[in-house]
Amino acid sequence: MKLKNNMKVLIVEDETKLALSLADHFKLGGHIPEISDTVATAAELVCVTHYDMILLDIMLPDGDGRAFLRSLRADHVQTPVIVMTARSEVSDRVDMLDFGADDYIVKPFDFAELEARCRAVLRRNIGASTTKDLVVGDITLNPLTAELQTPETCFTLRNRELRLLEIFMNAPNILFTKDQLADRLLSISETVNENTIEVYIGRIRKKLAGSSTRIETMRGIGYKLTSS
Amino acid sequence: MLPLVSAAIVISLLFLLVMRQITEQAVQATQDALLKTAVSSILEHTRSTDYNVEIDLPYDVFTMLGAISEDKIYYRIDLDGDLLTGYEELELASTAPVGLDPVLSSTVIRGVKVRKATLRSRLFISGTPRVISIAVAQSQLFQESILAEISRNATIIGIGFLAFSIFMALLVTTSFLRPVNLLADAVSRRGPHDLRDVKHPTPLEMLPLVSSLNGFIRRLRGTLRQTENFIAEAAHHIRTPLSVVKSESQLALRKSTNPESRKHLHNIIGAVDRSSRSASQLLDHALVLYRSEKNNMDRLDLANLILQVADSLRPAADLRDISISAETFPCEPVFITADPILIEVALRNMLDNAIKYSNPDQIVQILLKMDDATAEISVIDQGRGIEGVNITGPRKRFRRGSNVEDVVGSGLGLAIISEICVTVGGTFSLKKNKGGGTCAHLRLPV
Repeated sequence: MKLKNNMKVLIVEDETKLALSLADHFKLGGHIPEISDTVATAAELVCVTHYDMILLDIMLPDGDGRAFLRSLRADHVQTPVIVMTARSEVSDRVDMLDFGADDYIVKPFDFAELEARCRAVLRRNIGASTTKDLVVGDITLNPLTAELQTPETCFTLRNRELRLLEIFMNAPNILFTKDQLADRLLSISETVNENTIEVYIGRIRKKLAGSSTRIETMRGIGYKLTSS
Repeated sequence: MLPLVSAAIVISLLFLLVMRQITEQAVQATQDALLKTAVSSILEHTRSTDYNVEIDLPYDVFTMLGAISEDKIYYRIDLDGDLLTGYEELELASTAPVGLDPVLSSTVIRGVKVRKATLRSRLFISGTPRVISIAVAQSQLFQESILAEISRNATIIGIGFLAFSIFMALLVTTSFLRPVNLLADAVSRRGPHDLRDVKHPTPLEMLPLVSSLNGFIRRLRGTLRQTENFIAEAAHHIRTPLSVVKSESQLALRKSTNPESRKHLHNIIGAVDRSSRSASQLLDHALVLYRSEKNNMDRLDLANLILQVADSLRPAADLRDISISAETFPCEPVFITADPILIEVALRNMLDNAIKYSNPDQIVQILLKMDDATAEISVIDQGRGIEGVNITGPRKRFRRGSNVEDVVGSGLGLAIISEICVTVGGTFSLKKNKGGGTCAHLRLPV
């Protein structure tokens, strides 16, 4: 996940294994996650550290995540908060938003969905101007606005095109297999055609036409982004 | 009602019989008194002479007897059994004792029934005791006519009483049953999930019945709530470990390059998604039951609600490059009165289905139309369409379409929408689009 380089994320979750998994996921995306398993610890961490994002569970051993959220907003802490809960009542979601949450995600969730929600929340709260663009060769990508600038024109990418190009631009010249790309691009329980990844690669190649940056096919192995 | 009318008929007949009997006795007693007076009066006007007996018939007595009616009067006076004067065919009661008390009896003269008073008394004629017998009889035509008239009047009164009784029975029955009928109507008009206490105004006599009914409803509600809480808690406890399994599997999948391991991890994540989906839908189902029972009505802006639901599902749709279009709404706001949570659950399920069965790069369109009595929400997708489900009637739980086996689902979504429709008085139908895909219509009363 490359919404912003070295994004600091606070994960408030009492289920240790889940918290560690989420932390691992954010680390793989180059971010800096911290874990708190109680409301009290989370409150202390928020006081001493600036976070770009908070992932907040509701049912915590020493209190209700909603009360913590309300106290954050009462103290004018405007850090984007995404609430994670195992309950999916619509009324809960409405309550969450009323309490000041920026979004709500129901467990268990795809990491891809969590990324999409983080992206949408950051876009609303931080704005595109403060986001660091990704630049490879002569192309520039703004991950929040999904705008791709090539020497010839500017495109607004669709979600999957954006995520695919983001993967490549975060690791230029690195080879990605089809499976690796599919894991991060598609829903895992989705039925995938063998050509699905090729379709999206093809779409990006069309947009990169005329640019010195291109996606190369390593036959039988995968793809990589190169710039001449 | 029928027992009351039967009782009224029996009472009317008894009244008729009693009236007739009393009248008959009264008329008979009057005639008897007159006949007794007549024979006594004749005896008083009878005196013995030296060798015979002299009778001065008191015609005023006969006038008195004849005054009350046109009945014929017969008399006979015998001296020692020999007829002195009067009608020979009028037989004297030979068994009547000698004295001053007349004996009354009934007999027939010339084919006519008559009432007769007979008096036997001693006279001394020339020092010899002689027995004089006096009988006065009168036909009973007047009595019969009086009886007939009284019977007629009594019959009229009886019929009047019967009619009045039936009317009163109807009135009493209706007024007594009215609260029962109102109560039954109030209970029968309730929705299938409406388990509030009965608070309909009822007479004091019916309070035990209403109290028992409310007690039963409370027990049923408690049982239902326990079940719902159990489902909600179960869903919570199932989903938390599932989220650990899914997160760990996703991480492992990202790090794994072994095709065999990746296949297993895919299977694990697919199973987690199916379990999670079922838990979510069970929770939704419990929520629908609970909200239906509470019957929380509120005025809500449908267009606003649709946009909220669309926004909540847009990130999931975006992940698959599926666009949600919710723009074609009426100019004026569409307000309905319903439980907003129930309507939101129905909309979420409709939209979730449309997204689930759409292919990447397709559009899911939400339309809102309005006529005088109905607001119609249509969710139109361009996906694979749906086969093997009831497209207009109620949907069975855990029954899925025949062409959606490869898509994660629980088979509860359509059943939940159907149940919501029953609660809010709406209808739900599915239609295949001509160009492919499905169109789901939810119609709600305005």
